[in-house]
Amino acid sequence: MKASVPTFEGNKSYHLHLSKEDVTEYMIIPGSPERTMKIAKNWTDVKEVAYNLQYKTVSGVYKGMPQATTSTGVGAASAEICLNELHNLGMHTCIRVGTSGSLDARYDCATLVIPLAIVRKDGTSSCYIDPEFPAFADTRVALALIEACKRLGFKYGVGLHYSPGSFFLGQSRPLNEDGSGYFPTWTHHVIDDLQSARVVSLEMDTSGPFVQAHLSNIRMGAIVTIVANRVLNTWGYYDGEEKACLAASEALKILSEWDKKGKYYEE
Amino acid sequence: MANTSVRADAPTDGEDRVYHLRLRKGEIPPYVVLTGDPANTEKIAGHWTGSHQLAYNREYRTFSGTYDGLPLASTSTGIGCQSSELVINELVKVGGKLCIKVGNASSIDPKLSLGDLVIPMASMRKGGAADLYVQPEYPAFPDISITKALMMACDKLNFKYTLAVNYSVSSFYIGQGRPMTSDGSGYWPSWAEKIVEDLQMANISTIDMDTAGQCIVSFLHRMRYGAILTINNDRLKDTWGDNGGFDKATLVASEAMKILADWDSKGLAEEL
Repeated sequence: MKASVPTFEGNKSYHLHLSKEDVTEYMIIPGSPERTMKIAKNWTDVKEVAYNLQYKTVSGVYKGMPQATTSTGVGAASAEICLNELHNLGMHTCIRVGTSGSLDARYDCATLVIPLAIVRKDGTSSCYIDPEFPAFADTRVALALIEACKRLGFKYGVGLHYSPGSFFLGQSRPLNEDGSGYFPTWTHHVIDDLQSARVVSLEMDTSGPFVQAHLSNIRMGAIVTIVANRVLNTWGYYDGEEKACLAASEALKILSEWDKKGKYYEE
Repeated sequence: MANTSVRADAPTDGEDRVYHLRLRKGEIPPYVVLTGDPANTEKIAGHWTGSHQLAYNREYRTFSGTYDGLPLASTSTGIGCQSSELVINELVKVGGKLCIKVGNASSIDPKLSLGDLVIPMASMRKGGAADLYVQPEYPAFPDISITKALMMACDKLNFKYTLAVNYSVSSFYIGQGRPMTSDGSGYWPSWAEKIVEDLQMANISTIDMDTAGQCIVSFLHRMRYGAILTINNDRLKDTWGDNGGFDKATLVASEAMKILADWDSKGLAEEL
């Protein structure tokens, strides 16, 4: 086995343990392995294909369309491995389903947010390209997600998002509850400054994959459900995760139809 | 020009006009077509009825007119994000709400030809006023409703378009990998040779000097902003020519404004 191109059992991808026939060209990529099963709840013919490390893959059929999902684990570094191996197996389009904090009073818990672009502080995409390269959702995928939410009657928002590779200082949280410990002055205004710059939501996992996707010729979008609102000081999952999972499957179905027509909107 | 009662932090011409554009509040409609070259503002307005020049100061020239019943303006920004910064700021002050840039771009994508239309999904940014507003990792991206309206307008007019990533750089020569002299002598750092190749490797299709910075400055002003670019030079084949692309892009922008005005009247545009 070569160190530069590792494999598993001779021909399977090294980390995901997958072959080409295990995945689909259009995929859903959540962070947590548990969420793959929530995604599969909307499918028939569900098959648990592989599970190694934080990477769990499940396949099935949504409204007649074969779909598959693989979890990326937490953070852009873990997702980098997942995205690259899925791309080498033939995936060309993917949607991330995640949870997110909101910085905007319009988007309370269980509202779905479709990030159109992201302030990228993930730490992984900077290993690939200059910081000024944009982390953005592919326009076609974003339009399909909007269309899916409309068809399903789900409340959604679109906007600018923030992905820091840090849960504490990167999101202006002190390391200790009493505020003691390392808390440099420039972290105190992270949230205010993001709001002033019109950022509506934040989570850790999306900007790295957005950048990597474009560099690998993958079309990628994301839909996240708000589980905490830093303005209203609210917290709760409700049914947001289930809605986001369903919207992702519906959006992939819409995209596959739009791809056949070559038009990315409804007349 | 009067020298009294003009604030240094919000200058006017002393007669209630914004300082650089020389426009008064309410003189322009909310929908504005932006372009770099002052000469092109007249070209754009040539597709409209009742067009007339409102102001011309430095590189900033504004026309207004009507397209299919919708009042529109065209304003020139000059070259680069630095001269654009104050255009966007002053347009907001006089009542601009939504801008579509009609611009020229270089192609570095073998799939594109001279005169092709490109709608940027996002832009990589290098330099310009945006660097003084936000961190480098802040993305330059257009308003998605404007992008959708531009796609629909292209289809309606039967013009082919390409969704792509654009590179906006505050330099025409070294920053775009062009030697400073025609014989290649003079300052030519080794990395300049690799600029186009590395941009191609990053799946970037076009190069211009304005779009990224305009995206960001507009977004921070809550001015809705989108762009349509036409290929007027091809860096791979080393050819130059508009091929009718600019006129096509102008029509697309005007038609997209109609679609957007309709959506705005019905509350159908996405709110960012």
